[in-house]
Amino acid sequence: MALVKITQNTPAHWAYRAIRWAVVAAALLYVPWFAHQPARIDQFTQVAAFAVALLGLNLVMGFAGQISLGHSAFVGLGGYITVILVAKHDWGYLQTIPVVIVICFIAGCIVGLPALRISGLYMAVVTLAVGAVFPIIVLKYDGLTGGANGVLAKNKMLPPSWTPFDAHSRFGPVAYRYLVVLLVAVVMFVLTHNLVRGRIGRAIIALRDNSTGAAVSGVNLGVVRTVLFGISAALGGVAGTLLIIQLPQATDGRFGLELAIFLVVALFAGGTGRTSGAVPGALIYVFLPYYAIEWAKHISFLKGPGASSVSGVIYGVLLLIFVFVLPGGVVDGLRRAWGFVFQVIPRPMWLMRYRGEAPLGTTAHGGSPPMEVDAHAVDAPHTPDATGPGSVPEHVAKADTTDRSLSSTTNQHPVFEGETPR
Amino acid sequence: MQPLLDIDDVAVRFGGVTALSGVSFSVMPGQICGLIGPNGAGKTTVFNCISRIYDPTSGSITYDGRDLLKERPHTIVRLGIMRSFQNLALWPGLTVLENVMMGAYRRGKVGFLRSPLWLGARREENSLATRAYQLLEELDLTDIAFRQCEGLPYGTMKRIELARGLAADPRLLILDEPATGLTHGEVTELGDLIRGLRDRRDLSVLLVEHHMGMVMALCEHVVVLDFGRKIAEGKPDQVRNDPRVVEAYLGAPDQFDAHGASSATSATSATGGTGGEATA
Amino acid sequence: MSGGSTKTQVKAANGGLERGMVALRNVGARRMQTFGGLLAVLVVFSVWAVIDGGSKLLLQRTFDGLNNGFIYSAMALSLVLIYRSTGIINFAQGNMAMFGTFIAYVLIVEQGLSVVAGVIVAMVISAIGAAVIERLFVWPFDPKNHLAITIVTLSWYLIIAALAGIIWAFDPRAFPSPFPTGANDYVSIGGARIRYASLGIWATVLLTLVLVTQLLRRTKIGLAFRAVSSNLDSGRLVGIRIGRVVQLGWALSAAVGTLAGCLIAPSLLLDPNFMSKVLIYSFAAATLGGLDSLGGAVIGGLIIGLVQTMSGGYFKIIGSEFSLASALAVIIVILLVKPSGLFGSRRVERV
Ligand SMILES: Nc1ncnc2c1ncn2[C@@H]1O[C@H](COP(=O)(O)OP(=O)(O)OP(=O)(O)O)[C@@H](O)[C@H]1O
Ligand SMILES: [Mg+2]
Repeated sequence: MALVKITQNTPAHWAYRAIRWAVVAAALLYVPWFAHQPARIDQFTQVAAFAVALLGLNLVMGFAGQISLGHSAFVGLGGYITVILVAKHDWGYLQTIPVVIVICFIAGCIVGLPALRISGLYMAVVTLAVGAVFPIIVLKYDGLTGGANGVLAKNKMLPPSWTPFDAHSRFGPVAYRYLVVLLVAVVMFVLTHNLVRGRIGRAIIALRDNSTGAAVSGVNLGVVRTVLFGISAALGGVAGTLLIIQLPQATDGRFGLELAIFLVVALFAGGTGRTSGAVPGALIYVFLPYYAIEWAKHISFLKGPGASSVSGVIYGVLLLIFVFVLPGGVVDGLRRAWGFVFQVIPRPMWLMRYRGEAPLGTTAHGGSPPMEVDAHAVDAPHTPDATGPGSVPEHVAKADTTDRSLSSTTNQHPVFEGETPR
Repeated sequence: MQPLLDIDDVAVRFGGVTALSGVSFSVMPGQICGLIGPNGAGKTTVFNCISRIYDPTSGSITYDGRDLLKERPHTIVRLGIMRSFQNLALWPGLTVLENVMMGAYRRGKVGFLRSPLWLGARREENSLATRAYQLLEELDLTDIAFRQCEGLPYGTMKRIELARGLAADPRLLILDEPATGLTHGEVTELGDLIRGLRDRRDLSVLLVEHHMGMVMALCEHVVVLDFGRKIAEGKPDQVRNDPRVVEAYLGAPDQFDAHGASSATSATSATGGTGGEATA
Repeated sequence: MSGGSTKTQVKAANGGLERGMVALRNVGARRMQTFGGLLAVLVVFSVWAVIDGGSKLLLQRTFDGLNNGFIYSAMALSLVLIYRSTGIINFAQGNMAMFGTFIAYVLIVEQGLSVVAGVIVAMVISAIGAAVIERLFVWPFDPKNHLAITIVTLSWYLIIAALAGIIWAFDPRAFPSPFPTGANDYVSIGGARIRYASLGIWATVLLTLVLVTQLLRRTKIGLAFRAVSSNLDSGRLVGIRIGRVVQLGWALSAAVGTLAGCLIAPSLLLDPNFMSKVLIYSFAAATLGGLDSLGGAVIGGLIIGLVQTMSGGYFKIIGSEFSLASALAVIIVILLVKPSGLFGSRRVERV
């Protein structure tokens, strides 16, 4: 049981939330100062960009339970659109984002469309096809994409003069790009988080956990699946743009099938089914190989051509450790550890209003205005339980209301839901 | 009076298996209609045809003067039909409250465009949640409102399904074995609850149940299926004494002598008919 | 027993028999439709191809396509074996095959074993290796926890590739063929050549298919295997030890995979990445065949191989770079028409 129990919507809870967000924000903003070399800041820029890609992949794999082995194609599409517009048509980097979103959304809807008929591992093949074919298309249309040479935008993104960043120093542009990418990423996170915590989010999880039940409740499975795949692809495209901001060069190799597979691995490691899983996933994706190779350089028998392979072994072993020890990924582990210390007991505002309780939960207002509910919904007059405790009993308040993951005891795999061999 | 739901000469075949043939019956507005029969009789198949999960091979289903076979599974609820499932179709990834809120999915308006920006979402979420909470109160489930709905007792999950069904505010509620997993006291309560709901709302109920006590006490009209055919129909008393029904339920004819919720016969013993537990 | 009850039973039994027969006939009809459709496409295409480039060219391309196709079939077989026992796609399959092929390489080229002996020993070693991996990393999980098992295969995909890179580095090596490869070792049919090596590959893959099918049909563990792959829970209920069966699936699959690797390696060069493209094609082939059908895997492989060769050869716009794309496009079209592949059993969702 948790050491500290905090009831939702009390001053303690507000303070708890404020402190948590302040710490996160401070940590994110502190990165450029904490990292001593531009290269290190660059890595954090990559983390932010890949986190957006993982966020998109998570929508499809974690929330909707559809496997996708082709998200590299959308990242690549976004990247190429940005770099071509910037290099050949003199657009600003950020201006390309709306175009990227629209085109990738449409592309994603088209790729997601077969899911109306095809499901499970069969759909995985369709996405695999997309991921495998993208680099081939890039090479084929070399007039537009530069073929094997790729496209290089010579004008990197530089801090404008009104910012405190010095465009000519070693740190200035890198730190500026980090903050820009971070800002875009945060916006994407907020939008996505809103999407999955609301009505549509429930519908998405419902169609993953039991699609028949979802359909009977009125969810148009086809539309939700397709649009969701489109949104996921759009997020992938934005991630591509962000990667181009970090390094303005697009090549077929940067967006190959390898990327798609590593995104899946990183998502599993970070944690599926929760928007926050994208962050540890991206950290692992960027830093693990880097440190693995650094480490391998110090080991004599690994010197030579095999050294770069070491990261693969470490990646794999780590992933194995994850499945056995932390099946829900890093976020799940963190949350569980956090749960030993803090527990928030749900007591949402609407419930307080419904019960006629004062916001602080100290005194019960007899005369507080009742909650507006659709009139026909209420068939019997309910007497608000003004004497009851201000919150749900602790022993039943197991889960946070925003907890979207399947608990680790679930056997049904969200990705291959209902797909047993026969 | 025009029937609310009219099933006319419906047949369903799966490959070589004939699950239903020539089944016709109707449900009147405000009626509680029972659909009974031994295991494998085709009761769930009727439900699946109504909720458009299966396509009948032939026949027609009319609801409120409208051809139901033209609808798709997700549009049925808009017409006011909601169902529960024999084997549960809850969502373990959602809390109990959210499961019930999903029943009112169609009543929400915030879609893919507004949801990310959280425009008008807060208001809608609050009203959906409050509404769902009221239903949980009505079914005595508020203790577990914020729990994930996995790992709860079977009877509790059945009640959550009922709450979800009611959240859709249906005109026709179709319930597939809602009393499974409930204790005797709870079965009586459930019967009273269903009748109470029907009386208070503009609601009709089509009920599949093996618990004969409940069916006989609750339903005004009973339809009996056996091997995919309708073998009898009428008031509970008529049906109970129908020799064909007795034969279909062969092996446990005493089912029909037991009245009310005090019936101690379990649902499964009614199924002995095809298994050969004959004592007659 | 009362008379009424017996009557009911007889009625039910008769009904069951009748239903079974009709179901059988229906399955037959479905298959015939599939074959008919494929045949029609084939006939139209060959007429056009003969007009376009002559029959000799068509034959030659057919043989080349079959050659690739049989190799994809072999890998697809190994994927299907794991799918049927575990219900997942083994992402590590390609790399497991690559590793097995390297073992064969070491045995043959460095230890001096004969090619056939080397391949067989490597197959045995891979089977044991896979059985060990299964026992240590798959067995601890609930067989229905597909997510966890899939992650395990992804881990091994990474580990095996990296290990091979560390041990053998990335310079390509030539792998000896077990079949005669001299300049004159071919038969000529209608002017087109089939090399003995190709014939050898075809025969080996077909023989493997027959052996695996017979193993599953004739032996007790094979029966258990089929029971588990058609319904896990009922399998468990009748007392089948699921772990054993799954282990068998992994071992068999690894052996078949290694065999496939050794068959391809002579025509490609051996390096730690040499199976990655093949894996995509065979993944596609297995899917096309229906994921749970062994015969379907072989036919799927052949279709992929043929489509790849023909589209690359006959359609200039497509060219050889796009042959992968066209093969995958064909799969998507077929899946849209038949969502569970050509021969896959359709999943019925009961509610
Ligand atoms: N999707 C399906 N595919 C093949 N056969 C089916 C399918 N659904 C139902 N059946 C068959 O149709 C018949 C009727 O099944 P149904 O589920 O409607 O019975 P039921 O009356 O609901 O029985 P129970 O009381 O056990 O719930 C059974 O023989 C069943 O095997
Ligand atoms: Mg039923």
